[in-house]
Amino acid sequence: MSEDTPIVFVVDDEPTHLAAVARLLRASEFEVQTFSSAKDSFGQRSEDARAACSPTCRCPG
Amino acid sequence: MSYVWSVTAGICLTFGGIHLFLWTASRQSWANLAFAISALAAAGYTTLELFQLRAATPHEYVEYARWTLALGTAVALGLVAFIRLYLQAGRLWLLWLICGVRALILVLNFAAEPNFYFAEIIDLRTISLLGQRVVAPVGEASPWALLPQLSHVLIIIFVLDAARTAANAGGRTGPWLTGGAIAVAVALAGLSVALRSRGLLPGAFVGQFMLLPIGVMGYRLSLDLYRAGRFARSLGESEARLRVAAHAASLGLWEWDMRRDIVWANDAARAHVRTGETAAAGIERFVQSVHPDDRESVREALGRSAQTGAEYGVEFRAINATGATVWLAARGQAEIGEDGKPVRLLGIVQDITERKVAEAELELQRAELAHVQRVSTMGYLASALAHELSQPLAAILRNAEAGELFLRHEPPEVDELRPILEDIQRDEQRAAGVIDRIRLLLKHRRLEYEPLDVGELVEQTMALARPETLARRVVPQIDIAPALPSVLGDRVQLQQVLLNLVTNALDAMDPRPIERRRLIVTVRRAVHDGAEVTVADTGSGIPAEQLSRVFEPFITTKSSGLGMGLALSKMIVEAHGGRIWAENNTAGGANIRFTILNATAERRTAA
Repeated sequence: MSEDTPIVFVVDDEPTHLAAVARLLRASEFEVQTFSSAKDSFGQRSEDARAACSPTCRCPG
Repeated sequence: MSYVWSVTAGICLTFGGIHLFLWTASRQSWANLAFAISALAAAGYTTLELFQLRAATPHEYVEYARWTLALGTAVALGLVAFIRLYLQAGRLWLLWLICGVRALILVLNFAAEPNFYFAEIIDLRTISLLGQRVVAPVGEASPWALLPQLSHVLIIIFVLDAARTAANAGGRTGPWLTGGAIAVAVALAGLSVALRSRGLLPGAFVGQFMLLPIGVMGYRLSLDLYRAGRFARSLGESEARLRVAAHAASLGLWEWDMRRDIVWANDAARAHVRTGETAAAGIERFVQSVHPDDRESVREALGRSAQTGAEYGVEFRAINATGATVWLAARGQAEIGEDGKPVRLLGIVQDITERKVAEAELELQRAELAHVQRVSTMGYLASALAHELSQPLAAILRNAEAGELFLRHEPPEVDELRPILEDIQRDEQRAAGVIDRIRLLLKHRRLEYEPLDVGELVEQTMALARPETLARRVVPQIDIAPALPSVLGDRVQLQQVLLNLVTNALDAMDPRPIERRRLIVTVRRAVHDGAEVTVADTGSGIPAEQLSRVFEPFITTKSSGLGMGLALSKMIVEAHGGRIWAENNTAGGANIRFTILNATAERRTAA
């Protein structure tokens, strides 16, 4: 994948759903990084990510 | 003058006859026979004495005297036997001594010549008695003449001693009156015999003195008659009362004479069973109307009571006189005879069909109430369950979409499909599991008791509640002791109890800060038998005065809810033979504990 490929951070506490969303994004030619909580994703440099989605809103914090 | 003797003999004869009749009517009353012998002998004595007093020659006088003495002995022994039987007192050795002396007198009486009382009778002296001329013997007194006097003294001692014993045993004045009359009569007879021996009196007047005890016994007899009448009246009244009460309660009364196999039953008892169409006799006639499935248990209950004399109680189905199938309850007791064998079986029989129907309806209502409550619990859990369900469904959708995209790639990335399809399968199973659990809870069903692993039950229920606990930010702590006995219960209802307690606990902790919310579910071996489950929270606890009332219906400390959850939980737990109670814990919250009997324990069937 090229440098320009956008990286999508996916955060979900539900592992199966997280995997499914990540898979769908990969099929749509995105580069995906998955996190089980938002806290973990904060550690990443935000400029790496072009977009972020949080499929469920039941995550704490 | 002769009329005195005639009247005396007549009275003695009449009363003797009355007592003889009483004895023939009831063969147990031997006292009446003894008194009858005595009175009839006195009648004979009096009659013979009349002839004796008119004897023309000493020889004639002596012959009469022989027989009057024999009858006098019968009078004396009859009275002694009567006292012994009537007062049920008196020394036996004294009785036999009296019999011995009188027997000796009898022998001497018939052996002695010319007469027992006189060694020699010289002449008959004519004296005037009550304006009539009678004869009295003149002669030399025999030494044996003291023997009758000895017997009189012995009889007086015997009678007074018996009267004292009987009076002390609780007879009050009755024994003294009877004994006293006899003692006085015997004393007077003894005196007159002594006077006759000295030629001062013509006869012994035994019959006349006998009138004294006859009078007393007549008085006592009429008293007994009066009492018997009064007793019969009150017995009749109480029987009538019982009849009215039994009729009002449509209470069947019955009695089985086991020796003759005859059954007596009142109208109500007859109406409860159909006896018309069977050829069987005795108790079998009634047993035939019992439902075939219940016959054995009825026979067994009656048989056990007959063997031990213990009370019996049995409920069974039967066909009643109108041909309808009814539920009957029979209760009663066997009467055991002196030989240890059963004599009679007494009892009542009642139609309990209404109660049985009401019980069944109550059971149905409880099941319905439980169902309604379960549905409302599910409504309460609905949003959490919807989330639980939406997770796998959403994952399935994403996976399906991803799969479609991979297929559109050139070339199609078929390798990616395998993990996608595996994930779809797993998520579908997960969703189906959630639906199954919900359906099980919502299903309207009858109770099914089965052996359950209580630890597993708790874990399953907590899994069902997991979405809700998650939403409330509570991580439940589940603590299950090892090697628990399996319990006997209805899986769904026990799950419902646990769900009720958990949702209550979650509600109670809502006002608490998240870090102070703790839900602990503990399963332990119960103190006696089975398992004890505790649901502990860190809410605000239960006010002390409400601790015992929280299980009553419509008692709630929450702002929402009907207050049925704990009431229903109590109903369910008690139907399982367990106990449920509330207490406050040191963390400021409440503990609700309940017990379930283990599978081997006999389950109490709650109405």
